[in-house]
Amino acid sequence: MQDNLERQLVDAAAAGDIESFGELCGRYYGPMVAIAYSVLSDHQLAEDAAQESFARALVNVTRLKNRARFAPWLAAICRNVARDMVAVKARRIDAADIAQAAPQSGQDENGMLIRRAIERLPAAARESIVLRYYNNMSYEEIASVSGISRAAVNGRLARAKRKMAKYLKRNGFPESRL
Amino acid sequence: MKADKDYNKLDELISQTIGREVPAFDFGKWKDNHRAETEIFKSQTAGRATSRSVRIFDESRAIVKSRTGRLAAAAVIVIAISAAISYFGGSTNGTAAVYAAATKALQNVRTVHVSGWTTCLRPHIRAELLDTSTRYTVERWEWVTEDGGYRRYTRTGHVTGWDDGDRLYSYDEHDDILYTRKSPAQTSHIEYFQSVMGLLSRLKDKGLQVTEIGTRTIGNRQAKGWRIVESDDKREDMWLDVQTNLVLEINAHVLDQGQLKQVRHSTCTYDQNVPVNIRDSVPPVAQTVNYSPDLDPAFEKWNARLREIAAYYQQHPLPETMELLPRESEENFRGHPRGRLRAITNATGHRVWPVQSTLEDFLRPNVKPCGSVCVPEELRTMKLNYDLVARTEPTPRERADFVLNALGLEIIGVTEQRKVWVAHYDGRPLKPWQEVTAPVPRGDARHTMPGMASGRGRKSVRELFEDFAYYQDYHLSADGIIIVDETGLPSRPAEGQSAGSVAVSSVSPYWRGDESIPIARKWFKEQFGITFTEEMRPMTVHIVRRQQ
Repeated sequence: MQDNLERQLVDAAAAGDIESFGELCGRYYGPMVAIAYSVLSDHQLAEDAAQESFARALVNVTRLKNRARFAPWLAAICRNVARDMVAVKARRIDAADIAQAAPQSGQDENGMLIRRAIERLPAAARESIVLRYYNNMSYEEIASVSGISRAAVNGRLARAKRKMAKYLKRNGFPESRL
Repeated sequence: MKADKDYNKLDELISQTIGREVPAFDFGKWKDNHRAETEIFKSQTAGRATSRSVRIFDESRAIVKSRTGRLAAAAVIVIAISAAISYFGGSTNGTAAVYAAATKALQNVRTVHVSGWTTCLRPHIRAELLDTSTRYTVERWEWVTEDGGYRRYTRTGHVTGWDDGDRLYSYDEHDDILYTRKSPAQTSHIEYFQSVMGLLSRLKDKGLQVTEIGTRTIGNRQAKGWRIVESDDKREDMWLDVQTNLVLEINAHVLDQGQLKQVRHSTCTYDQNVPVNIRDSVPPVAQTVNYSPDLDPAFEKWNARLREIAAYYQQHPLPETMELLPRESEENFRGHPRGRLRAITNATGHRVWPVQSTLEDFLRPNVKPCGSVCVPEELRTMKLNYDLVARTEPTPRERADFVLNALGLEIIGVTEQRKVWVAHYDGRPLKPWQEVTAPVPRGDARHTMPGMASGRGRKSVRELFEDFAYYQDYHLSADGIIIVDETGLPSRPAEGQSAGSVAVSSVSPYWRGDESIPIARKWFKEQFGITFTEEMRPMTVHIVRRQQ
């Protein structure tokens, strides 16, 4: 839910107060990085995507009609930016891309299996999982950013975890550890 | 099937795998990097005092008050919609048909050559995109081999890339680093020629504005142009051969501080012979080679070893519980824990744990509580060179006991007076765990020093204490400091709560050596209000010895 302060910040930003816009960016940087990460699976690119979405949001915030839905609007921009970056990645194999694929320290087989299980989820479920665990957001916060109800978030997360558990079990992950 | 609330362990595993501290957002820096947007925003909002929106609203209200005004307004709306349909494209202006024709034409092509320039290597980063001070030469060849395979050579500035059908390489000349990963399998012609296909697919992207921009001659070819508008300030003009439907030229522009700047220019030619020096070009021998996990030679050797073990069990019975297989080679290679055995693991659950270290290194993470294990000096450096095959998921302690037994060793518990730190908590409200970081920032340090973050992820007080004892008694002599937790802070989640509910820190610091002690005392006190008093207490020590 959008609080009063946030509504005031959005109104002030739309009226030309750039510092209010900065406050909003600070509030939503973490969630936007998480949303972009759910698309890109790359921490560095996810941060780039979040910052680029703020750029797009800044030049369009004056045209935002429903100011009560600032967060879902920003999230939609961020998803689009991240998807564009996937297209760019697909067309261009550069050093930075491959560097990100280098082994992470401490990444074991379990970690890779879990990553694969997350990547196989439908986009919306993947996003909810990443928001919850990448950024440790509460159900209310996820609901606010995603523009859905808390119950819907609960349902999405439960279904996503069921799917992940099924995939992990099928791939030899011991049930006792789930 | 498990109820959702029972996936607590999965919660923790996901959190450990993807959980991450997002760095703080610096709006000042961001504004410096996004001056163009900031300027646009200022210009958009500077005139708001004149209330342009109110003025328009007033005018429109005046129009709808009269009948003729209403008719005129309706006519304007019809014209505006027609203009918008014509401008925004989609299927109404035939872009879907253009895409289909261009894709079809591409299917008969064997070679694509793209040459030109770009102003940035990472176009998705706007700050770099707007810096048009440097133009990097772009040279890209993509071709289909005689046996139908796909190959690619690209050179953009100091970065050169190859796709040899098996692997992708990318060489960064500035850093002398060669990155390599597996080549994605291209199974259909449409997946080839990504340089052109990626652009063509934008013609049918409903989220973009596509409009015709007329015709012109490029070389001796007649070309028809399409403008693809991605946002108010980004556009690409694509010119397609009128006869062949193939892309001939692309020019990309961005709007920066009211000025349209060209950021990319590409010309495309088809079915030229690939120059021999390009066709036969191979990645250089670089100072540093960076592999993706599936190609890392260390893992390749481990995977070969797993295949060897799987072959062994085609001829021998699988163990009911565990079996320790000696390795013939002493070559030390990295292996991921719990390796899978081809055609065995899925059916029986058997997995393999590499046991290739000194006894000390093997026991340190596997026998808890940390700081309680005592291995005589003559046994500590005993070299283990085995693979442990286990049917079910043994606990680390079960694995340790099995290996020790196989080596003729055992663990006995004795009670000894030990110096301990008794931890007390002053009851202050704890900060959110995400705000608790390591006492010593890592910076650019190449080696981990006392106080720097060692492990990341949600950590409870109990885990922090265990990690402290782990490092303080690193050589398993059972004489390091161990912590007795009398803080009263929860160490395990309550019924129905996730492991995150007992987290107090986002990192576990590295506490090896005596120099760690004052840093640790200060950190625990400042971050959590936890202080320590030294005492002697009877504690169980786990002594490793030869079986009697």
